[in-house]
Formats: sequence, C-alpha cells, structure tokens
Amino acid sequence: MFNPPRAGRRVSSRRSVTAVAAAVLLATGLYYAWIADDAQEGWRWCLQAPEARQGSELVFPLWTVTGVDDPHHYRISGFVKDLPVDGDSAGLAVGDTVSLVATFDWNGGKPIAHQTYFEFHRLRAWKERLGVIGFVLVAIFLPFCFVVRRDANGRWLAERRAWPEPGGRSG
Amino acid sequence: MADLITHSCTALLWKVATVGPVTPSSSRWRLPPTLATFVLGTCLPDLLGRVPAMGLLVASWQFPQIPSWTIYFWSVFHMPVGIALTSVIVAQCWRAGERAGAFRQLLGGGMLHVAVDLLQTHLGVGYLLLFPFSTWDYEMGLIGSEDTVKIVPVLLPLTVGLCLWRWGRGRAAA
Repeated sequence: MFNPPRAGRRVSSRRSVTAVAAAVLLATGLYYAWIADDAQEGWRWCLQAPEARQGSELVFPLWTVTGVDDPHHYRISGFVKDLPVDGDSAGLAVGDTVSLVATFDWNGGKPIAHQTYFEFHRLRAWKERLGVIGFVLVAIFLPFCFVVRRDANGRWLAERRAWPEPGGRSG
Repeated sequence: MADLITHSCTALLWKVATVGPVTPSSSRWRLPPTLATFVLGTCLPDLLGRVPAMGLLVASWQFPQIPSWTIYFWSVFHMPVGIALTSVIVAQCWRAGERAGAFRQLLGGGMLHVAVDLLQTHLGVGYLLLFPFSTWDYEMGLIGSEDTVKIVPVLLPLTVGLCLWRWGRGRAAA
C-alpha cells in the first residue's frame, strides 16, 4: 500500500526524462549560442577594434542582397543588416543570395567589406520555394498521420495508420 | 540543408527499401507501421533548427534589438546531440511500451537528415557533428547546397511511384 501506483510512476518517469532532456538541450543550445556569439571573427568583431582588425578576412555564406548602390557597390544582409560591400554588382538584384569572402576595411570610419571571392546562388530562390512547399505539405499531412489516444495512463500519441483495427472506431 | 521535400522523400525511400513485407493484419495501408514517425524524425531538425532561426534572422532586420544568440540557439536542434535529445523528448508522447521504438524511429530519421545534409558543400563552417564535445566540422562536399533543386524533379516521382508500388503489393498480398 506504500508503493505508488505503477501508472503514477510511469507518468513521473516520463516527466523526469522530458525535464532532464529539455534542460540538457537548453544548456547545449545556450553554450553553442555563446560560442557563436563570442567568435573571434566576423563583421561585428572587426568593428569592436576596427583599426587593429584592418584587413581581417570575413566570410558571408548565403547572405541576401538588400541593396545595389552602383556598379561597384552593393549591400548584403544576414546577421548584420545592409553590410556594405565593395565588389562588382553587375547582374545582382535585391533578394539574390550570395556567398562572399572579403577583407575588412575601416575606411576612415566608413567600414566596408572588399570582396575577394564571390559565389552567386542562382537556384536559391527555387530552393526556398521548395522549402516552403515542403513545409506546407509536412504541416498539412504529417498531423493527419498521428492520433491522440486516451486510456487510464493519460493521453499518448500513436500513428493513425496503424489505427483502427478492422471494424473499430476511426482514429 | 536540403529542403523538406528532399528529406521526406529520402525517408520514404529508406523505409520502402529497408522494411520487409508488412503483414496484412498489421496495417490498413500496407506501408511500414513506423513510417510517419520516421518521416517526422527526418523533418524535425529543419522544423526546429532552421525555421525559427530563419524567422528570427529576417525579423532582426526590422527589429535590431533581437539578440543574435536567440538566432544561434536553434542550431543545436540540427546537430546529432540535439536530434538525440529532441527524439527523447518527443518519444515521451508515445505510450510507455512504444517509447523506445518511437525514439529509434525519430533518431533514425534525424540521422538520415544529417547524412543527406552532409553530402553538401558550403562556404564557411560545415556541420558540427561532435558538438558540444568538439567544434570540429565536416561535410562531404559532393553536391552544392542548391543541387537538391535539380534532384527533386526525379526524386519526387520516384518516391511516389515506389510507395504506390509498395502499397499495391501489400494490397495484393492481403
């Protein structure tokens, strides 16, 4: 009589496992965010001591073109908005995706990135469309594949297609 | 990352190719009984690891007060350690006797996702497979990050065709 019911232990174990896993996940995510935010590279890091970091290499993978100023200057946005780039802007349009390697130039108080390597992602827009279509399809169809069932132990999830048994009620 | 259509198709193909015949009494649809859980596991790394980060990144252009760490944080859901922990958490939604099986399917789907993504090449850092124990990054560099756009027109009909064939074979067996 002093033992808690088995179902109660299960629920408790379930909550404990979820809580521990969520705590570890949160800690790992925050640790990664701290490392990434504290990286000794990048545009923001260069701006912290611009004269000392003159000429530092910058890498901008998959950034979006958010402005084309003239044939030799354009702006890109990623973790920084409207970062000025000194590079050939022929054929570029707002919304294009590019990857760049550049060098940091304090430029007497008007910082700019001098492009040294350029990669234009011609199919990125199509990939984003596919991503949106895939997301919509998954959001519509995947929930239909599962059903919430209820019994004495509470509610739980199951695959709908394994349910119902022939002649049983529909899940 | 590849797109969700590519990931879902590879998950379906993996199940069609690796799971043996389904007994008629176990399934109305004659497809593997763990199919949806496996596909869910394949989709979760992008749904949890990429969608919120991309949304926050674009939002930060309008609202610069959004701290950058809130964008970086979500990347852990796309790493093996995050996929394993997410699988543990999501598997708790299943009944006690089915949780281990659900965990295996979710984890297997997530690892297939990582395996597909590893085929790609990116400028800059690759995938951190051993985080938080190491910041070593890796990718095979066999295909460009947009090459899945060229693969989908072949992959999608192939997947639908093989699933229909598998379904039809199961119905015939019944």
